Amino acid sequence: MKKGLLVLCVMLMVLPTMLFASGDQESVDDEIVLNLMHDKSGAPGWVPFFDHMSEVTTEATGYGFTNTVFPATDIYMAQVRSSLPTDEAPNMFTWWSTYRMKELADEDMLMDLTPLWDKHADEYGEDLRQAFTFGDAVYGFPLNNEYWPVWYNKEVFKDLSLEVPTTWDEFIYVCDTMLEAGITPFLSTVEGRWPTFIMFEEMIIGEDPDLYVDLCEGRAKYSDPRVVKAFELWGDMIRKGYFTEPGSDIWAVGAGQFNQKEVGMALMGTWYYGATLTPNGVPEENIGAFILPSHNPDAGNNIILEMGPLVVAKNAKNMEETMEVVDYWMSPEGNSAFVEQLLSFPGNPKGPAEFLPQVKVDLLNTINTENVRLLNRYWEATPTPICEVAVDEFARFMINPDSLETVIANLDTVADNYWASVK
Amino acid sequence: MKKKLSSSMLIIYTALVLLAIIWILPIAASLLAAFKTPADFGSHKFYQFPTSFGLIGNLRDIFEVYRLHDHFLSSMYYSMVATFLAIIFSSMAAYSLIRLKPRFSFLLFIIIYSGTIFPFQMYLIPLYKTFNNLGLYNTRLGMILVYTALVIPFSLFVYRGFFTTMPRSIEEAAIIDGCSSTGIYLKICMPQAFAPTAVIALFQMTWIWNDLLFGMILSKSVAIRPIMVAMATMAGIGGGSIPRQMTGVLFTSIPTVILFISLQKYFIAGNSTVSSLK
Amino acid sequence: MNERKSKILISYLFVLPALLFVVVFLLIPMIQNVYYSFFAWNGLSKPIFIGLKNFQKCFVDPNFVRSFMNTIIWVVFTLLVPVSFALLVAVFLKEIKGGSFFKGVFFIPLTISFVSTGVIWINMFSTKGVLNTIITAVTRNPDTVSWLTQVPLNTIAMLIAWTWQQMGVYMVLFLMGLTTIPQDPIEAAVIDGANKFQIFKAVTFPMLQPITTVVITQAIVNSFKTFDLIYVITHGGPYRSSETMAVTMYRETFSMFNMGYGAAISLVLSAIIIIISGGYVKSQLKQDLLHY
Repeated sequence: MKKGLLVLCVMLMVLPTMLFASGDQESVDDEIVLNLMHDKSGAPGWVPFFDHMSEVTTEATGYGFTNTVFPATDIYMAQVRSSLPTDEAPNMFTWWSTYRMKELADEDMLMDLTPLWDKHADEYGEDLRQAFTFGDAVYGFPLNNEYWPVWYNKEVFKDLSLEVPTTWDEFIYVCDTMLEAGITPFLSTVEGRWPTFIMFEEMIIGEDPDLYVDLCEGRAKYSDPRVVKAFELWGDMIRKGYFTEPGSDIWAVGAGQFNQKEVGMALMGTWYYGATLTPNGVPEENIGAFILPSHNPDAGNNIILEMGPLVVAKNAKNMEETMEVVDYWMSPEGNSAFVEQLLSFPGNPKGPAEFLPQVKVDLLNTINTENVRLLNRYWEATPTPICEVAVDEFARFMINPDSLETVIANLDTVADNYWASVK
Repeated sequence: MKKKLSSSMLIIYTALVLLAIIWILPIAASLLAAFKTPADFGSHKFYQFPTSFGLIGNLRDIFEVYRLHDHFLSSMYYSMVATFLAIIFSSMAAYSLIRLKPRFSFLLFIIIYSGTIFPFQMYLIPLYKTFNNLGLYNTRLGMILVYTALVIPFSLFVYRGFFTTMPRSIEEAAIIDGCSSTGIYLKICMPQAFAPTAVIALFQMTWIWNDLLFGMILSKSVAIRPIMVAMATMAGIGGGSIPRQMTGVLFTSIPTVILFISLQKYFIAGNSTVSSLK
Repeated sequence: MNERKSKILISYLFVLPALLFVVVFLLIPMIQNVYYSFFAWNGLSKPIFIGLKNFQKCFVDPNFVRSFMNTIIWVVFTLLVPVSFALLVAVFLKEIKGGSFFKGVFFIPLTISFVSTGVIWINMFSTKGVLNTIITAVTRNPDTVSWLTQVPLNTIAMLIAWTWQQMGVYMVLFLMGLTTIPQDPIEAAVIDGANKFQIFKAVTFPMLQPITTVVITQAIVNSFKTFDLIYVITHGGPYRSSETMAVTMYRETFSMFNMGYGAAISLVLSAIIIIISGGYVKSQLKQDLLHY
């Protein structure tokens, strides 16, 4: 009798939980709502941008999407990877190009977008298509393109009567002048792990862009004398005090330092302009950009390109509707409607870009007219298992440039192991 | 003698005040940061007062961009329901293990208690897979179930300690009166167990409210995700803005601080729970 | 007879829900995890059985060795600083009147989440942060301390944040223990002319022994499991120098996708924790036997 009462009690408590729980699941109605996953958290978060895009695609195609942001890249990658084989796979998700994308393509987790690429063939160049081709299919498409120039404070340059450097010597002169005036030339950090590859890739492409590609793809070793030479030059710059403390905050605090002329320059993707500099109070007219000159004159003009791809999961539900949304998003209008909010370069080269700030327009003109070679960012250009170890080794080097020997040895070990395992 | 005593008191007070200042400094610095605009924060020293009132703008950001208020209710719900379920189930189990003494009672205790020992990361991947297979991934039910399971072991531990030391005389009288085990549990044991229940409620609700790991792995939509995931989103890869994050710290700490203030007398002053923790 | 049977049935029914929750959501996943530890698996492709190789790797992997050493630093520091501070503060608070303000101050950090604690202490330790601002103001020297990038200072820095957060709980436990100590022996000692320190050494501390055991076991287990704070403040970096075993396990699993190796590390960690808390469980068992 009493036992029955107790069971009843427990049931009464558990039951509402169940009902509450099921009642809160996404309501089932006729309207199809797609989903998109991304890790663009932080400042600014891309959530409102995707929300806006959902409204745009609803208007254009009749289908909108919800977007889910993940707070950390590692957890995001783990979640996406484990959901891809299941029917929880997201319709669309942001990813990285080259090696990071190849992993997913190799496991047959991505939807082949070849028909859409064929449809938009005259808008995207052949090299872009190649960048997204693995095997005989094209996967994903670029949401936005970001270049990696040196951002500089025009006021600092004016105060010290400096010119934008076009050669390495001029560049060194700029840095030394700043140092003498008590201004740290560059924002730099090991915090967040990934920013350590920024100077590394610049030093290598400044030595020889082909060497950079070979290094990323396993045809050159990290102990190659030219790589070591680039490291040594970088080490000299660190020792001379060209960079802020390795533990610096290069975001809000960094923007403050930039604004108050404590720091003169920052080497960062074009997104840094609208994501960090202007929102933290740096006046637009004070921001300039130039391409870092190569320290080896034979290396030519090079700049790092970061493509932000959106890909489609093969196992996702509502594939037809997803394809319609992607089709629209790949079009010039669709693509620009999204990047307009980021103030980024459209992934579709035919996309209108009149919203770009002048400094970015000028940069793009320079890239297009001065025969500048585009190179993929190290984060994507080298296989993930190497990159994950390498960014930590670069951090070791940035904190203590005397550790070069250890760093090179460790890099060689991880690269050799990786390339041996895939052969 | 008297003089010596007061000098030792002086030392004690000085030490405590110094320590308290160290403890308050981070909170004070955070509060100040929450009231600054990002530009203000980037260009002024931490102790300088804000030049313009940034809190409103920061609040707007944490609500509009990071939707912290959306997650607030979910997390409330999880911490209340899961703690409630854990209190029921663990007190029942503890009562049975101590008073009814089924066979293998110590083994059963160790099995349940083992849940407090292992690092939580160990459960993550298998749980994620199982939840996906059972359709529990990204549901409120799933979150409730996993949180309940995670807080049961410690709750059981506390109740078990409490019931071990609770005097048996009243119960024995009740048994003679013909009261059943269920009756004794409901009418005699639980009403006396108010203090350990308060301690469990405080610790476990706070724990669930503050959880990041499980929320991050087992949920993905705004409606389901607990609040700490949203909070962590603010510090994501694009680099967070400290004033905004501090506003988030402030906002998300309100419930746990209130809970602590309202329940503190049960564990700081009283000694009734001491026995439970032995 | 029938009544006896139903009583036994009830005794099991009462344990069943709690047991089910723990077995289904914690124990079974744990066993699955043991299973994974014998495989090389990247989370996407088919797992390959490699036997004990993941465990062998622990002994030669410098990252694991370093993280093991860091974990030891965490355990030792936790015992030396937060636990002994907590004991000291609890004894002090017992001496003075109206200590509730101090209790509140020391306890408040416990209600703040690890994510928030991390953010608060990043603000303290960052290059332009609170501590460096104070240091430059006091020393009149622009050189700052690299709290989070120098090894082993970064681990010490996080242990300071950890102390800030954790001391309160140990303090409360000690306070509870102190209230149960009978006053008679202390009064007797005072009459004998013992000073405060002698009383503490001869009477209070020995009588606190049961609660001290609880605190020390808790402290050791907690510091072995430390994850959130490190994850938020340094992510284990730079160059994995501040990882503890729980962070290494997470890093291998979620950023390197060595699922099997991560599972193996978590097993090693669990084994260590079980060995340490085993003594405590044993004493529990003894206590149990005494009781009945």
